[in-house]
Amino acid sequence: MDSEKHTSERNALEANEISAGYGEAQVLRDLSFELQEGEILSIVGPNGAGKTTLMRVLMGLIGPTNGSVRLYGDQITDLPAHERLGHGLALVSEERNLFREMSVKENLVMGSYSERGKNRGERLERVFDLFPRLEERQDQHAGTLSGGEAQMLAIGRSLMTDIRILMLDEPSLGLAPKLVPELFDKIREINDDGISIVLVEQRAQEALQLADSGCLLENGAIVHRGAAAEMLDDEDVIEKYLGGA
Amino acid sequence: MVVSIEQLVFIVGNGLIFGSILALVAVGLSLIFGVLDVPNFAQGEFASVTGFVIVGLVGLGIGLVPSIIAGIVFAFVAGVAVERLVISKFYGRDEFLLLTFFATFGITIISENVLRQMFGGFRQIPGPDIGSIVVAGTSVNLLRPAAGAIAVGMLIGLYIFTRYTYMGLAMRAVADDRRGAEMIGVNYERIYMLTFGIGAVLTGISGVLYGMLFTLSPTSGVALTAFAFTIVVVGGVGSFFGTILASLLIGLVDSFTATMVGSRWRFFAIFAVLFIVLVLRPEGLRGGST
Ligand SMILES: Nc1ncnc2c1ncn2[C@@H]1O[C@H](COP(=O)(O)OP(=O)(O)OP(=O)(O)O)[C@@H](O)[C@H]1O
Ligand SMILES: [Mg+2]
Repeated sequence: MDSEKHTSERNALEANEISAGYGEAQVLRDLSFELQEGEILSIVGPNGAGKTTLMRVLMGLIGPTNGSVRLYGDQITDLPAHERLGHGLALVSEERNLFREMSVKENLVMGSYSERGKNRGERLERVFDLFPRLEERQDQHAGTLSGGEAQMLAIGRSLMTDIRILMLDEPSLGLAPKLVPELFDKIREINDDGISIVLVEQRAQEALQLADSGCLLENGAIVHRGAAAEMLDDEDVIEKYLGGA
Repeated sequence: MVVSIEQLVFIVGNGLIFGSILALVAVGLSLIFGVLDVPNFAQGEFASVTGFVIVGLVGLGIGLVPSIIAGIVFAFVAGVAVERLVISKFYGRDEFLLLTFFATFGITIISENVLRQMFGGFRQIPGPDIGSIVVAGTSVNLLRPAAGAIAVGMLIGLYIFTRYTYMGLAMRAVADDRRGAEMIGVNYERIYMLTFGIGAVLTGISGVLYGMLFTLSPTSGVALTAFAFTIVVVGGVGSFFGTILASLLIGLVDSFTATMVGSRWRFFAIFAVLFIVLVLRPEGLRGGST
């Protein structure tokens, strides 16, 4: 993989003993987690393990019942979601949450809302460079995009401001399998620009191949964490998540 | 029933002017419903209250222009107050739609009674005298077309606002996907508040125009609310152009009925339009498109 990678030891994002859930149902139990600056961290785990719930807690969309979240050392546990973007944290959710009635261009313009359009032209150009397809479709309603295009737009929208951490919740969901390697290449490109990445994926093998480190989330807790390459060789992990040897 | 050219000009002219004033109420209603999911039964009150505030200020000897400005500011504050003091109490509650419908219904009753206590019956805002012209043999007070033009200007302004400003785009974004808006840095509660304020101002302006061309009564608000709900359904919920098209249609039908059939048939004719549209096109004139 990339040899000249500068993953410093500093934690970009960290969660300490998080518990969270929905009403009575507890999903995350005392979960701790950290993302190092500059790395790609892949979170894998079975359906219903709590991956999306963790993303929601980190983004501030739901509050944890216990524990804390830190961003570059600053305590952000109580910061509302709309203020987290200003601190450089962005989420591309599992549902994508695009503005379906608005054009592709308007979705991207809205991506620059928090900075009220600062460097908008430049950023738009970068997004169109990364996803030329979006430029062709810019006047189309977002609701009419294909699965892959919608994913590109969701990622592109989050790149319209100056972010430092991008969390992607199952970006390959709904994508034709042949498009997945291309998407993962783009994620690497984004990472090469200095953005730390959290990648939640069902496609554990491909995700771990891309990532620097990996986490295994099961039943609301992280049961394993290590270098991605090691996890790919780990018998246990292979058996459980990578569909046998 | 024979319609003369003079009558036709009169009917169409009045219908379009009344329709564009109605559009300001309907667009305000539609905006608030789109962004907050509140079926604001008090929408028309923003028109009557604004109108009466101006009547009151003018009555105190304050000039027309400052009174109108004060009235519009009052509309904005009233809109924000309704959102902050009433609607916001129901956020996150089940049955939000029903709760806010009844709450705004209550506001309407209170507002109507306060207006009746303070102002009694029918009142008019003394419009400025800007002259008149003769059209098809009848003299037309220029205030009428001017009021229509102001209403149309406001609608164009709103359109531009929602397409080209961050605040306007944020309103559409929140209406479309609140979660998505939140994640890209939109403080949706602030947008809720502003939307109520802006919706109230649009409707407040219709109250000013209405009060100059027709007469205000404490029940004008409810009547305008009924018109606005009908228009939003006829036009297709959520469609800006559908709402405007429906406003003009309702304005024309109203004007035709009032002139040719008789005033007491007005609401009958309008509900007939509603009924016909619901049977033929349940999604409204422009339902499904924006
Ligand atoms: N909005 C919600 N309200 C109530 N329960 C929820 C909600 N969202 C998720 N859950 C429950 O929380 C648990 C964890 O769900 P979560 O979506 O976090 O899992 P996940 O790891 O992302 O799964 P997947 O791989 O299917 O996306 C599940 O049991 C789910 O049913
Ligand atoms: Mg999930």
